Amino acid sequence: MTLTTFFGCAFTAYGPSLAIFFGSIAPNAQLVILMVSSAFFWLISVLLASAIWYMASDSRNTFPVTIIYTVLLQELFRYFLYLLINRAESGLNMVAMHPKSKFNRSYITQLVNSLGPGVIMCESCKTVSLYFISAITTSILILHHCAWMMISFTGFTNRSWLRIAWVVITHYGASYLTILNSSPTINYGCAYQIIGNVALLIASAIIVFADMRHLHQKLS
Amino acid sequence: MGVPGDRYSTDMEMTNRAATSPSRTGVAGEALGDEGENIRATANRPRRRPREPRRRPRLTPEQRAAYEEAERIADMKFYMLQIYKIIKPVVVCICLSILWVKISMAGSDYRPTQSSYTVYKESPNSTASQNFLGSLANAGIIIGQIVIVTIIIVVLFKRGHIKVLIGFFMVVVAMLLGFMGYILILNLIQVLRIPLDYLTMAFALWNFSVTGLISVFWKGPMWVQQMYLTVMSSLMAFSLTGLAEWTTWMLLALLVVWDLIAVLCPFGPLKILVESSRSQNQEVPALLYTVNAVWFMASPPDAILNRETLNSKESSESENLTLNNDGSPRTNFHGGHSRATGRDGGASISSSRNSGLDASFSAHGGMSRTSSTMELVPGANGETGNRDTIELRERARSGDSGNSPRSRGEGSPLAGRVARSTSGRQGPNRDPRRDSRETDDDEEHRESSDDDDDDDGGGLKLGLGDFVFYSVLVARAAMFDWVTTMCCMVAVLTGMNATIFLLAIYQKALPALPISICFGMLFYFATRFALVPFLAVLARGQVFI
Repeated sequence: MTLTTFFGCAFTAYGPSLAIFFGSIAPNAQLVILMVSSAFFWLISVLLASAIWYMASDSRNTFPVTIIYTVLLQELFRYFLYLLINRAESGLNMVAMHPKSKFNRSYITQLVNSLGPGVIMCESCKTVSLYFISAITTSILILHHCAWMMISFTGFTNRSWLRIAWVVITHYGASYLTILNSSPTINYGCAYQIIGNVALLIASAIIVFADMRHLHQKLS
Repeated sequence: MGVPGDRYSTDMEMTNRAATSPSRTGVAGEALGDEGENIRATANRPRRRPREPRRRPRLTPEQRAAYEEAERIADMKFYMLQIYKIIKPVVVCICLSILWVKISMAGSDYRPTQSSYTVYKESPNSTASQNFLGSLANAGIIIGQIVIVTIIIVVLFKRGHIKVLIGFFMVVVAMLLGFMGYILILNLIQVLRIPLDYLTMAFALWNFSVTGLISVFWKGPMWVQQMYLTVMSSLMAFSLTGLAEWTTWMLLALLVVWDLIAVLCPFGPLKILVESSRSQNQEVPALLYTVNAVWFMASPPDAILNRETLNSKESSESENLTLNNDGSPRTNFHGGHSRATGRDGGASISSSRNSGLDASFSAHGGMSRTSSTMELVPGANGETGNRDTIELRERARSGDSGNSPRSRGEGSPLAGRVARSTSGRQGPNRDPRRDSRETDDDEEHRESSDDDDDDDGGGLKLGLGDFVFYSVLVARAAMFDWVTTMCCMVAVLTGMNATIFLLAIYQKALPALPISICFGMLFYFATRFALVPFLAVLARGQVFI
């Protein structure tokens, strides 16, 4: 029974992201590298957050405070990652100046790809109780991260503050919603949390699709 | 000596390169493109000589600049692809070692123990300084062994005692596969409760290790070879997980230092090894996981070419081009075959195969090749090219297992060369490019040959030692927690990526361990002491960040 639970939860949590990974990231060299580097950056942010948490021994068990700086750090490092990638691409972007070379076309499509299917974040959460809820939440949050990645990168490139704000706010929203999981006062907290997160995810997905379509139109 | 220098115009090179790039990435339709390139090369041939004189002045600065830019970009893309190709075996190796560790930790009596040469036994109640010094001593002993063995290998290689080296490696590989495989199987049997008698196990193990030996040192399908290299590394890593914790970390830290010294110092043994293997055109057997081996699976001609460009660079390309026009596409196929089957002395192995493979090895082809060999040897003036040819031929001859050794022996290396310069995507592109560069300043030329020398030309090579120690680190982390495992894996992979990008920038052999291991150790301790409790608290509250 425990084994089946384990596999069920594991695949619920990581199934969608694995599907994304093997479907669209693994065949593309650039995306794999991008994924590894973004995972690295995410890890750095979480490590920093955990270091802060480690030092702030007073507020160790007050989740709202913890969430504030973790989310902030994550978004900050997302921006750093964007800067890094942008810088790396400015090196590569010389191709675009070459009307003759055939890289031109293929490279832009690759760029679109790299903006596209996004990035997997490793959420390592094996909770003590309510495994299934956390599995679902994990999978939702991974998808959330993909969507945030795309939205924020478009936001950074277009300098649209609305998108960046949306990412930060929804990130906070999603994190605070998960507090409901363990809240002793609200009944069915986890259900509310999942519903809220799914709603946020749908909203983000709509934004992503709109952006993608816009991008495609601009390209063609 | 044949034509002093065939020139493609720059724009032609550009188109060639442009044609190259998509086919590099694409897997399908490689063979077709290859054929097309052949045909084109052959068709071009009569026109090439008259064209030559007016080609040279057409390299305007703008064209050159533009061309170089395109080339740099192509290089970057190339390296990206290389990273992609190398990540897979590394991840597989790491995952295998994690698996071994997890299995052996699930209550087995046969875990690899501390080896007998560790002088200090860690115990949980000894103080930190005791642990530190003792583990330093242990790790120092191991490092000392590594250093000595490395130096011996380098000396042997430098002196050209390849046979001794190969024998040594064969023993090592056999021991590794057999003995560590035995321990691993004992683990598996005990943990998974498999009923198995000794006879069957001995038989299976014998087959396993002998197959490994054959495929690594002689011939075998590429994927079997790669599989064995990966499994070997993971077994080695597994055997090293028997070390105590402090010793492991100390060992990794010392290894970083040693790696830096060995690769970057002017007289570092590994640097000497790399350089002499480059100049002797011989690969150190069983020590390197070459990406073009991986590449071979993806796109056969590329693999050949990558290997071959190394050889071709010193001798004059014009000859190769003339040669290749004599050779039919079939010769290509020979080359391909040789590279497919053999790892070191590849050409030689092919020759024996070829004989069976094409009986219609036409007199025309054979003759032209023999004659061209004659031409080539005096032609390769001055540089190492001369030696290369001879060596190649010697290898070919010695490895030739059969009929008409003479003509075969001469034919096969040439077949290799022919393949290299005709077949394709890279041959025709690279060679003329280099030619065009030779006309320019010396520095330029050196640079280009440099980058061809390096991982650009030969495909990316990652030492198996790096595989092993990446896996050791992650396996060590796996003995603690899953979270640390994942963190270390990401850190190691990122470090590897960073190293490869540095490689792209500096264009010389770099130590692969330092960045990865430093990241890995940093992340391990950070994760262990901060992240794991943090996540535990978060998980208790079911809060997601």
